Amino acid sequence: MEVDKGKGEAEETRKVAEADRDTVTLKSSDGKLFEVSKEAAARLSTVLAGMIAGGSIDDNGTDLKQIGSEALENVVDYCNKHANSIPSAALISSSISFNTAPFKEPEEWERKFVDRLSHDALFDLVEAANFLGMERLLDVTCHKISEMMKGKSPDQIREVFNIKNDYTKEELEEIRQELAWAFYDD
Amino acid sequence: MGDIHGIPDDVLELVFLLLASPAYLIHAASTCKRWHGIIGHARFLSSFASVNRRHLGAGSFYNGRYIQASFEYARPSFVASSSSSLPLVLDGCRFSIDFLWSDNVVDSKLWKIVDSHGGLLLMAKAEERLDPTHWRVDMVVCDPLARRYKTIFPPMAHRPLPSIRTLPPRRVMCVLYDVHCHYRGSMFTNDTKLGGGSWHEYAMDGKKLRSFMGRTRAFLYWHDTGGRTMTAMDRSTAELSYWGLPQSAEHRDKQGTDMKVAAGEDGEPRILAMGAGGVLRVFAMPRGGGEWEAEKTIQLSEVAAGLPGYLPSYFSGGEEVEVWINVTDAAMVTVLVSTSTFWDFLMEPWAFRLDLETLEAELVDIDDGVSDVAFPYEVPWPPVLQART
Repeated sequence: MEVDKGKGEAEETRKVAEADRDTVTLKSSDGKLFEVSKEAAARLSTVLAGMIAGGSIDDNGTDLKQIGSEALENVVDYCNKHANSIPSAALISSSISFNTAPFKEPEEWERKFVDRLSHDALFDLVEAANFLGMERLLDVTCHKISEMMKGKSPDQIREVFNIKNDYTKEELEEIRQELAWAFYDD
Repeated sequence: MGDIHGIPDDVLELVFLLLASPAYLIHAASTCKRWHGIIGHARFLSSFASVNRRHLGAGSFYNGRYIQASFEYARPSFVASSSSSLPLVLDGCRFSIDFLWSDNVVDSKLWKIVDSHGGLLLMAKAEERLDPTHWRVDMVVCDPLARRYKTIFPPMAHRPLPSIRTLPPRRVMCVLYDVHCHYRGSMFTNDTKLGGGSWHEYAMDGKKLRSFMGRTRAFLYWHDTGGRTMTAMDRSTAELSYWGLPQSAEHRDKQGTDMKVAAGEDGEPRILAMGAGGVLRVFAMPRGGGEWEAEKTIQLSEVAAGLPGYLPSYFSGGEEVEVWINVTDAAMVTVLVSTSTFWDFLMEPWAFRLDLETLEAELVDIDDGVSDVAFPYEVPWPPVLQART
């Protein structure tokens, strides 16, 4: 099913406002509307599943005030891609909650999906996935961020993530000495 | 918007858990105080260790092998794990323990590594006196990364079966036994509040213990007197627990000295039972406990048949053949075979290394077969990450 993404306008949505639709309409903080498969939304997001089951879905666009249009577009895009990819029951329970199921590596399409995002878009998507209770998407995006940190020195990590160094020189030296095994000899 | 600073702490924890390597984690903690605070939390560090246990390992120390030409043992050495993500200097000299030999306290030819745990090595020198009931055993606890060591003297003339406990305050726990196989527990601590610098005997019900079976990262195992049960000692609490032995194991030796414990690739214990006719049975404990269950049965004649020097008589169950196994690493054993004549001479020892996962066999020198034991080294965990505000 081809889903209209991004340019979903209010009048267009009204036309398909039949009672038993198989999609739900989501509204971003900046008022844009997106349609997503009801089944995928319920399966991938605990928050949307709760809203669908509780009947708090608004046919004219369920307000998601915390999520901007770019992030919501990515969320919807992910849900649709997920719905179209080979259904894999294992994925649903694969979240890396502490001490439980081991993390499952992202699949090829998931990797591509996060790789094309800008840093800003990636961080927004992490927040959106967290807000919507989308465990798998959260795993996949967090995995991407961790990949961006791996093998980098603290300086390089600060640069990539635009982090301000709030340590004094002495404090940093202390850490380096205490944990010398973790650092390469420069 | 679009900023890593907007991501809540619990989500950052997920990111940090996925770093897998303890070195990468320390790098992340050194970028800013907020990340340091999240990573330095005791709960997080223990989750990280349980999820990424495999990555805490840096490699293994090995005792030097015997050099025939000079009648000496080579120095112990470190071999970096091929899967280690730690920033190792190529030749592993970050883990060199050469500082031990430099001031004449420890003689590399006499001292042997006897245990490793939590970033420490325990070394012992057995000085055999004329009366074997009075072994004098000196020990050294060595921290390779900090390049420090401490000499400790055991409380009595017993032979140690040492084990290191490293929860702060650092303690060395020792299980000692004498020639009559009387086991006693003893502990050495660095903490002055706990009477540091000396040995304290602690209550240990060693009456049942008969023979040492082996160790995993978390436990030491003994075969009990009577032959039907085993005792496990938790290496971090010194608590004992009692387990049954595999029911279906057909013991060649009713005393069970042919049973060993090895860690599997997953770090969990396996019982290896050598049966008649060269049958090696591997038993695993199901998750959640219960009874030992047969995991695999290895016909040694099948895995060893292609090796140079192999004789079918080795594993045909003949009386004159002795077969025993030496656990050398996780899921790795050496099988040693010796045949004796009716004069009771041990002749033609023959040995091969066997990977219990892949069942690959490789011929080894008999000396290597005995001494080639890996002492796995994990970085000290949790790391010292003091709160910095």
